[in-house]
Amino acid sequence: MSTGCLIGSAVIAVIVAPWIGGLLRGIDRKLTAHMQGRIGPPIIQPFYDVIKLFGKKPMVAGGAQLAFAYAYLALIITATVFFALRQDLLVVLFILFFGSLCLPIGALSVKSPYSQFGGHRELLQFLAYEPILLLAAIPIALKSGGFTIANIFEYGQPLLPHLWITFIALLIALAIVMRKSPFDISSSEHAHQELVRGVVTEYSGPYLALIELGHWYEMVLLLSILGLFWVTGGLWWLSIIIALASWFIMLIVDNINARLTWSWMLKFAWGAGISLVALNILFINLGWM
Amino acid sequence: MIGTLVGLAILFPIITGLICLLIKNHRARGGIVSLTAVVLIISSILFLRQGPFPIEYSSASTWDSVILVFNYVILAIFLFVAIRDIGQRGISRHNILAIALTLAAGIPLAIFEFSWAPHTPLEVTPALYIDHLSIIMCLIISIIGSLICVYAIRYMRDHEEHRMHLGELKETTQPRFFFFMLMFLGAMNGLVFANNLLWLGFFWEMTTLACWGLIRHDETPIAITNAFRALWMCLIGSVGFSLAIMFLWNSSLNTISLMEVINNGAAAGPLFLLPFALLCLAGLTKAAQLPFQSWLLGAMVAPTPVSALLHSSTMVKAGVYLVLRIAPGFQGTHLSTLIAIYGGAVFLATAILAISQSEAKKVLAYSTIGNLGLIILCAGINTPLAIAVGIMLLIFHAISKGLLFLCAGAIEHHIWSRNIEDMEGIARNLPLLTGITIAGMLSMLVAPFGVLIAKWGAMEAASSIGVWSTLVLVLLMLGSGATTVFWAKWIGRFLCHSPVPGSSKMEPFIPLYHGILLMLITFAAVFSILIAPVYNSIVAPALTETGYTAALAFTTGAWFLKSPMGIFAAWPIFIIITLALLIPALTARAKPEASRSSYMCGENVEIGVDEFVAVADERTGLKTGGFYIENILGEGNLNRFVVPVGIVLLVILFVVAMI
Amino acid sequence: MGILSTSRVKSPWLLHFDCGSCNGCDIEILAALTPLYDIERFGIVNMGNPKHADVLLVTGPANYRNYRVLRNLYEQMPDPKGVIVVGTCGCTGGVFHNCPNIIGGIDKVIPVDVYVPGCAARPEAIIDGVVLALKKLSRS
Ligand code: SF4
Repeated sequence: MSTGCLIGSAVIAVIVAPWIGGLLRGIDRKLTAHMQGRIGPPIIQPFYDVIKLFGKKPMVAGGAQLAFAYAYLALIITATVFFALRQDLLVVLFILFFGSLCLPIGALSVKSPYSQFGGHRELLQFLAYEPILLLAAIPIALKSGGFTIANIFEYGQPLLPHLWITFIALLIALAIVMRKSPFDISSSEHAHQELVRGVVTEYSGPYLALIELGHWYEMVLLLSILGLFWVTGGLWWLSIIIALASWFIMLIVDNINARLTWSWMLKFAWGAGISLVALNILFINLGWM
Repeated sequence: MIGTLVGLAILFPIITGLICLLIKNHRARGGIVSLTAVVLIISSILFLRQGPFPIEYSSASTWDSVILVFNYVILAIFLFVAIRDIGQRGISRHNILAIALTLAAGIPLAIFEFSWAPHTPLEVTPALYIDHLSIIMCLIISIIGSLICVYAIRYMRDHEEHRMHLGELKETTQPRFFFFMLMFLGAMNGLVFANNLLWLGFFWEMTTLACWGLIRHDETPIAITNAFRALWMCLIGSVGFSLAIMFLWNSSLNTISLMEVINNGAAAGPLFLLPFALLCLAGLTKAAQLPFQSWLLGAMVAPTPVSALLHSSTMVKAGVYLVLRIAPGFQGTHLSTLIAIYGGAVFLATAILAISQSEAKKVLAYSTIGNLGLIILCAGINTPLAIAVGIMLLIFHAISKGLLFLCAGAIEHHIWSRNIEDMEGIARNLPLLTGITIAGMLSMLVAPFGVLIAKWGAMEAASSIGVWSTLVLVLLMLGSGATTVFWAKWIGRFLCHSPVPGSSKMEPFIPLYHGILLMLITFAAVFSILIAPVYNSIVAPALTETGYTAALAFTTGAWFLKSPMGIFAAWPIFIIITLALLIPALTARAKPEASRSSYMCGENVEIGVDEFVAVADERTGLKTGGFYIENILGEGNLNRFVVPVGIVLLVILFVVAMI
Repeated sequence: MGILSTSRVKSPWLLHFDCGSCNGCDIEILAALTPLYDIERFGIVNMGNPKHADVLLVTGPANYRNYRVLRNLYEQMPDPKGVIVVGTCGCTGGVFHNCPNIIGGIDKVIPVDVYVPGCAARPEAIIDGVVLALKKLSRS
């Protein structure tokens, strides 16, 4: 692709991603409500929420809190841009991780019991999913011949048939990143009140809105990474189907599970997630896949 | 010219160190230390501009005799202090081992030098071999090391005042301190230039001596014990040295020139990997890799400039330098793969252990061991890319970790504690110092900075070594996750405070603390921005000279660094991330009336007061703390696995080297 | 109505505080969250954190024991915000009127926007009250 095209796609990605993310969140809430026998909020509810939050008066409870809320969003958008520019997948992940890290650090910079609690638990979530995501970049690179996303497009064949084991591991990571049950360790969505809101307890008004926007970008970015598994070799629309299907699986898993402990999460992520990807790398190296 | 520069790099600091030993006046000593620093910095930069590299240099043969004599002098000192320790404090594991290992290192060496060698002293041409890799080390030693020494002028004054105040100290011991520090700088420069293995061994002992002397500097019982532990563990490496020298001389290679061993190692016969394994053993002990990590952790009792200079920026780097240096010799062997796995295991184990530590310097120590493990992993992967990454890590880690140790020292002298929990919320009272510290931590951790660029390169390099890459990569990724956790947790502790009523004040600017810290953080940032030119001007030549094809490592453009498999757009990333962080950090300020206390179920007392109303309407202080998960990740629990794994890996290393 | 006030009306997040009620009204509030009444269809979410809440839902009378907590929670809610009192005892003191530990209605401690009387108030009435409070939010 030409440079102009790439820059264009980056601009489009930055503009479109929050709309997709917000809609997905809205559909998520609607479907969840239906699964529980309720009607649920309108699909555009998340947009109402975010706009309302932006309209509230700011309120702070700690020194560096604000800077990290901005940095969180800014860095995740940067990661999205680099993804759209088809840069190195590892670099995209590194920037994304830096962004994700701003959330717990911001929470830890408030002297608040709940926010500290949530921040530390968020770090544990990070410890669970970061290695899986990084490791998952390896089989993709081994198969497509390079670490850049451009390589995947040039590869010309779908990755999923070779890398379905990695894909399963990525689903585990996705559930942890999206803080869906049973991995909603650090912050609870459904008013599980002993955590209050964990990592975001002390963020309010506009700053909470920034974080919510960041979540949307993050989710879209991760779903796009899943979409990479069938982005070439004809039937490119399958990548969208795959991303949406993964998202739907997350939703079901969320609704049929209760929260589990962090130690279980860590064991599961490091045990199942990492070994799945490791197996995949091993198979590729042995030439079996 | 070369002779002068070598003299300035090696002899000059040793001489000024001796002068320091004699000077009692604080100011005069400070002047001498500063002078040494300036001379070393200028001469190292002049050295870099010398060319063409590699430079082969042999000095007058009298120096061989000098080194011969002093080598045994140092060994005799080791014996003497260990025996004296038995007299003073009774027999302990540490002093007995120190004696045994000194003999084990010294006797074979004596047998070799006085009876096997055709003439005593045994000369090798060239005695010194100086290429870009040595120069990189020399720059690190001369620039960062000198800055640390200058910092120490102020640090030691505060340190001794504090100890005198506590009644632990009657008379200043600074002359001895600066003697060891400056002598050490000279010894390190000698170590990285030496080609004659006997010279290398001598400078190696000299750094061990400085290490011992500086760890025990405060002369508390624990400091003395830990100094002996460091001594005997490093002496294991010396035994490895002696054995390697004897083996090499007796093999068909019949040489003790390091470069010849590296270039024609395979000619040494079927067991040719053994000397490499022995030299690696020396490197691993010096770099405090598993299972020898305990000496470095014990060394943290020393004054902080010592930790910065010896135990993070330079001396432990000598270990990984040696492994990187000899890596071409065992390229493509199973030994190499095993070293990669070993480095990965160290990286992961220390990262996890660091999570459980609440003492600042111990966290830094574990992180140091882990990063050295990462460099060893790179040496083990042994592709041009990996070696380039290893060298880059060497540079960036020296800057960042030296900086962080100095920060820890400066913070210690403000709050008089080394415990991370006591650092809660110090961003409120020490904004500049914590700002620099956090920037330093980020430079170890996140995207635009050199350490991360190196990590990225390591991951890409590790993916290309076939079947075993799976294991290496898993260790690498898990370790990198755990690393993030302990840094982020610590940054959080710094920042954890309630809103400040009124505007916060900057702490007084102390030039020898803040000035030097600012200089180092600027280095870290500038080198990261200029990563492409830095790579081209020093790392790539170092690769070529050690026999790797630099073109297979990185290719650079105006704004990016390209590995064979990926691309790191260093410039754009640096600019965007700096903007994304700095703009909010500098502008995002809430109005004072927007401050609220944190959520405490409505029981909060008032804004800016960390209290809540508890039972019987009593105001109770709010306490928060970091998590350490000590019951699971603590040393007591994990060392039961970690140490045996380290030993087993080392044994396998030697088994692999022998078959 | 502009997009901001629409959003405010469409997304009221609740904080529920029990000031010392008999728990009758609290059960009714929880009933409003069940599938039968499903207040989430109006975008209403029970937040449990004053910093995220727009509407404070109070039950029970103001009393000397915890009026301080009530005020703290109110202060920790970012503007614009509304307060709804649910149940007669919160409106005036109700059955607890004249008890020695009772101050009286909630409006003795914090400004109240909407009073939902009833002992206990029905879920429909509570939802009505929230809608009334939203009118205030949409104007601010
Ligand atoms: S109004 Fe009546 S039912 Fe409601 S809390 Fe008060 S006493 Fe109980």
